Amino acid sequence: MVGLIGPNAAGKSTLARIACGLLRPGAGSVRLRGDDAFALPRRERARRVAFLSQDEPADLPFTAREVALMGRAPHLGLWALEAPGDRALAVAALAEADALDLADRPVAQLSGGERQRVFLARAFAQDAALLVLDEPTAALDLSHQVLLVTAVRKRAQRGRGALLVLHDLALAGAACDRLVLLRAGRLLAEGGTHEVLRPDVLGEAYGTQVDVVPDPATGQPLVAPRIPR
Amino acid sequence: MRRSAAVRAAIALVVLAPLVAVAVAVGLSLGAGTLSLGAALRGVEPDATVLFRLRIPRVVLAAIVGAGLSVAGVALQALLRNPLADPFVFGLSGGAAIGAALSVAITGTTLGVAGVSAAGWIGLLPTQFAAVLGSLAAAVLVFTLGRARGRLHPERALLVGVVFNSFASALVIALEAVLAPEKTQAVLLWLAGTLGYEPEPVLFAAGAVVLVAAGILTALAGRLNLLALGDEGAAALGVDVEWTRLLSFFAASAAVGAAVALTGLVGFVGLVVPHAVRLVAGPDHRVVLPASALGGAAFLVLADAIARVLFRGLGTEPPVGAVTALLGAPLFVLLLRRRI
Amino acid sequence: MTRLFALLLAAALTRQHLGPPVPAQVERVVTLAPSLSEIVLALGAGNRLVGVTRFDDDPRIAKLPRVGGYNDPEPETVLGLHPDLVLAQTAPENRGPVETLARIGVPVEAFALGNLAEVEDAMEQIAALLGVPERGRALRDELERHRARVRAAAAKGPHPRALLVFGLDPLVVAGPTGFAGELLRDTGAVNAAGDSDRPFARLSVEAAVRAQPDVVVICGFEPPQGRPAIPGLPRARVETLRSTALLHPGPRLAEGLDDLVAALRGKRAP
Repeated sequence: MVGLIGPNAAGKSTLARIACGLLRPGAGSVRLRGDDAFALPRRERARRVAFLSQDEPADLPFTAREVALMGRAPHLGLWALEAPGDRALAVAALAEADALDLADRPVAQLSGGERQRVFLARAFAQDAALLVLDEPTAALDLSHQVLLVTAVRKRAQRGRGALLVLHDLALAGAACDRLVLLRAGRLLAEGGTHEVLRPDVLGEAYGTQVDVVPDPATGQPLVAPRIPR
Repeated sequence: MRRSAAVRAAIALVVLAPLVAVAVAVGLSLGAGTLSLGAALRGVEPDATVLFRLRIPRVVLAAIVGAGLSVAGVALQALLRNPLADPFVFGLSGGAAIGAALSVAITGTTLGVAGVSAAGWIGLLPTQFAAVLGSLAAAVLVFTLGRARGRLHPERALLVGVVFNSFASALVIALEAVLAPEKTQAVLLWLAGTLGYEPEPVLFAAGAVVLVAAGILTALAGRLNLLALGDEGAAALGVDVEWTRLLSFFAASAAVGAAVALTGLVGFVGLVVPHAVRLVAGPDHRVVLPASALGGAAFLVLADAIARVLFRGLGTEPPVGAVTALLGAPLFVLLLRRRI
Repeated sequence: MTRLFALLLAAALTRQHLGPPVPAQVERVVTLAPSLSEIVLALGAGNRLVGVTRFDDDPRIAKLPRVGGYNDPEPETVLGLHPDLVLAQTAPENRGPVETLARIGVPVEAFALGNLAEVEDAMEQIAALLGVPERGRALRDELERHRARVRAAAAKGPHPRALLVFGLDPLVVAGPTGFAGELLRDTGAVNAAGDSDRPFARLSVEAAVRAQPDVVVICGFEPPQGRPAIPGLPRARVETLRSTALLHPGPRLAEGLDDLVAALRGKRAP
């Protein structure tokens, strides 16, 4: 589970999209399990990478179940008809994202947080080896942030990797195994949470003083901004 | 609980197929005179001619146009992510109007003679021929101008289309000021949309075009669903957004061209039938597309039959567009209210 | 070369036959224009008419069934009348419906009625179709004699400048090449719209004023009351012809000619 962090305009969202094959990089290449991402046919790429963007449309007339089912699209045939197996997977994905009770409600009528869970279910249903999430916790309250990150971690533990763009450093420290720190389009630091979340590194990246203390329960680095009182 | 797409499509078919059958039965039984079905089937004249050469072709024509315009409406509403799009929004009505006006203006000149023989060869009247060419040319123009940085931008194409429609109307009005008065009448009549009697080869050709267009769009239906997620969302799910747009746009334009060739510009159907179908059957295009084709066919066949009866006393027929709006608007309001 | 071709085509289009051949004995006739009904009536074959348009206002055929208008004949109604022959006026707007009639097995003869030569040809050709060719020739001769009389009487003058108006708003006037313009010339008047090359021309009000007509003759409808028919021509005399004689290119043109002469002289015409 890799976190992509850095200040605004660092290029995090851009990098995330390049990783999915949605944007072409000016230089360099993207390899998914050894294959060049941009050489793969679109559907094959979609079977390997799932993407959850920061601004998914809010006014969808489809129900949560139908949106989750859309995640199966890369696996379907010409007439795009889902099999019972697909429907079961979509339901399982909804359960995983704690959105099963929303299944038959139109997405347009849901709150921001509820919608986010539905879109997460869609990404889960895609059953891709890599999940790329762009600021997935931005609209969520604390309990749902925890929920989302925990669900993604569980998947990661079962062999499905995740790349999360995060602005919340505390969450990044608590949730991710590795971190990639960007600033102004350049890679500043990369490595385990303890290597990247250090006051000197973060101070250089963000231009402000921070304190990093170990979380009493997990030992993971907790980042706290130093604000004079 | 909403059932799967396949089941809902089946239900829609089960409901709509009899509706189409009823509409066809009504359409065949109503007309200027009384028809004896038995006599017609036994070959008695004029009943046999009335049934086989007049009423059946007319019902088929109405079905083709109704289906074509509805299916095009669904596609364009999906492409633009805008439920207010109608089949003519991309400049197709403007192009057809310019084609028709020019054709009427130049018949009687040598250029017109060439057009007449070209059209005659295909079986269309020169006005129809020119109108179809005009609408397809407009589609190409709007599509080309609506591209920026190598992609089709629907909002841009919409803007170009709307502006082009305005330009075309102005051009037609200016042309009418120059034309002889009888010719002006001809253009206006054609633009209002009329359901007439077309030769069988023209019906077959138009029907084939609409069928193929509807088939293409239904095959793209899953992808059209995904377009609702936005260009990025759809691309992330493996959709070739650009190609899907291009194919849908041209399939819709072809269906509209076929409809325009048969009846001129008929409004209302392509806007309202998709909405009515969505109100009942939900937003899934795999259901909405075939259902709109059937629903649009039934609607126009019924509207035409009712119009013929209502106006029988006056000895004339109103333009189809007026009829569809007069009959359809109250129906639609009713449907809307029951849903809310 | 293309000019010749166009002329030939135009000549061919003054009379067109569509559909199955016309039977030798024509007993049941449907007409798609009032002038054509009037021609049939003038040929003494009124008893053979079985269907007319809703615009036909001749009292002799008031009881006949109506089949539609100029541009929208209803095929089922026409078919139900079992016609041997349908007479139509060639026009781009009715081409579709007329072709439909031909397609479903009704013999159609379409005539251009734009100028007097075409009208007289039509009268003769229709007479031939109805088996009374000598009556057709008689109608033609009658019209020509009438015209000659009027021309002779008009030779001495006066020769007022006149506009023959068929529509206001937009202003539609008779040009010199149509039947109305030709009749106007017979009366000795000078067509104030004389440089138009169309049988009926649209004129801007300014062009009408510059044409400086002495008389404005309004044909076949009532101008609005209480204001000048054409603004900017306060001194032109305005006469109104209420009869439809000049609107129907056929045998009634003789009557229309007399109405026109009376109107130009300032005598109230019916």
